[in-house]
Amino acid sequence: MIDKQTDETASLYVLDALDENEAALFEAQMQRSAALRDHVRELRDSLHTTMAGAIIRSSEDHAKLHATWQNIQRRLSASNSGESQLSKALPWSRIWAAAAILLFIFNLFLLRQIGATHDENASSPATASLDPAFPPQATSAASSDAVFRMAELQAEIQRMRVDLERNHDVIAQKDRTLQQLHSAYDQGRSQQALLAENYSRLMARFLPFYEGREGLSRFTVIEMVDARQPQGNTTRRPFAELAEQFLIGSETIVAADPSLFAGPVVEAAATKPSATGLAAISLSEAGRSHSELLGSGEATGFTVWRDDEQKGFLDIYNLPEPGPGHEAIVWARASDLEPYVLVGTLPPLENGSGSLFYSVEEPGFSPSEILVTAEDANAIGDQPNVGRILLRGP
Amino acid sequence: MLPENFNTSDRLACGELSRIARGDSLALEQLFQRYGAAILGLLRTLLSGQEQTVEEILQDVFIRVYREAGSYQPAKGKPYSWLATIARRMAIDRLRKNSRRPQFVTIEKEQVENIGDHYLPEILHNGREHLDTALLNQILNELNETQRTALELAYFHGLSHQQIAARMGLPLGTVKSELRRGMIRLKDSYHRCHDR
Repeated sequence: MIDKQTDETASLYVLDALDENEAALFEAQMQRSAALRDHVRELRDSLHTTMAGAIIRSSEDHAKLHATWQNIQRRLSASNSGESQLSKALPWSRIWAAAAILLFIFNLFLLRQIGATHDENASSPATASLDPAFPPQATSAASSDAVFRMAELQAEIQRMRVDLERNHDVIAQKDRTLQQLHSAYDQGRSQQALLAENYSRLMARFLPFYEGREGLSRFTVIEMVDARQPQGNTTRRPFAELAEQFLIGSETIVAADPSLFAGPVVEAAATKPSATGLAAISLSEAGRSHSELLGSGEATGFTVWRDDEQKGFLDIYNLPEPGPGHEAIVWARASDLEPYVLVGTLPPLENGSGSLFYSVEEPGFSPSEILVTAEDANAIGDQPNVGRILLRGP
Repeated sequence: MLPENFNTSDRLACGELSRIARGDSLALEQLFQRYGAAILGLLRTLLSGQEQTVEEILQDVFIRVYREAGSYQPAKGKPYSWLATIARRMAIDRLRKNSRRPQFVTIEKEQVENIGDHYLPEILHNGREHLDTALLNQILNELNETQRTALELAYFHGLSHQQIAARMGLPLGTVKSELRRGMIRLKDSYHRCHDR
């Protein structure tokens, strides 16, 4: 049976309206009475549940609760990471030892202040509880709460410091990455602009090579040229350059594997490594350079032969007209001791100049000499008419 | 063994507290979903007009729960009571720390009568045994004006019985008696409604 006075005290206790001594006495009394403990529990549950029903609802509760929960998660996460970082922060041990001493002194000061405040406000309700099941009540709890709060603040400062250092590193690294990306982007844009500019200037130029007859054949070079170049400037490019680009790739003929070539080309390349590797064909004296031959205005030419393909390439400049009723016939022979082999009839050349392929229908043939003669169109025989030689060499 | 008067929600909350004590943060989230709104409302009433402080203390309450869940004892009260006690004491401590007199917010009669529009903690909505708003309205209306004012001053503003007596201009003994009667009436009404 609970008497009226105890009941009053129980009500005040549940409302935290007792001072520290009263609360302590009542809690001691509760320890001795299960009925009193049950009574207090029922008072407490009915009080909180009922009073909570009088609380005004806000339409912003949902957003507020969501934000609060995220903050709680962040604090708990920071707390956990802060604790793990603290255990690793050995170099800071001295600093934190000093901080702990300062904190201890500050806490002593705080406790004295709180004690003084408590003396002055003896009539204030107690918020310190002797009941371990429920949180400590106010006044005597203030000191432990203050210490707890200080410890929390200290831990939070440490967490913030660790987070700050970590964030500095991350930010610096991201800055570097960002700068690299910016640089790469700028470079890419420059290249793209250059390519776009170059592309816009390009136009296709078709360079026809000559229709062959018999052993001669035709090919076409499609060359991309600067569109700003005057249309009339269609100077034929040297065969050596074309051969480099379209026959064996970007390397020069000399630099290519010499085993692929045979005949005068190989010999020329072997004796004159600085030459383009083409064998010059000229009626003039030997030993003149390609540029000299080209600049002379004389009939001249260059040739290259690939044994593996059994095919040769012939570049002719300034070839004289064969004359009315005559055709320019190409001959080749493997050596001075061998007879000439008919290669074919040269097509009409523009200004006596042109480029063409040639082949010889003899297995294992490797020419050592090219001969171009003017033959009667109606009397072309197995061997050249030595009456008029248009070009011979090397 | 949980007390018999614990409803389903109370029992679930006890389980959550038990898991929180073992470091289960998911259980903390569940407990927050269960009681967060209730505690928010309580703090808003206690710290009227201090929304920033309300949010801070709401965070502090659940962080404290996370750290001290192991000290909760069902035999001493329901989980919500435990949380409400923590929240209320933190709020009152903050008010005192800031040396501010509590803002007096009287629960107007019409607010009580229109309690259906008011916030009700989820504890009251979880489980079959929940109390509805009308019953809570009825419980509060069963208090006389003196009892309700004294309870509000003690509960929402953390005043001592001496301070309540001074505030209301009543003898100390009268305040004690009115508080006691009000508490008993709350308890009886609560149980009566609960047992329906």
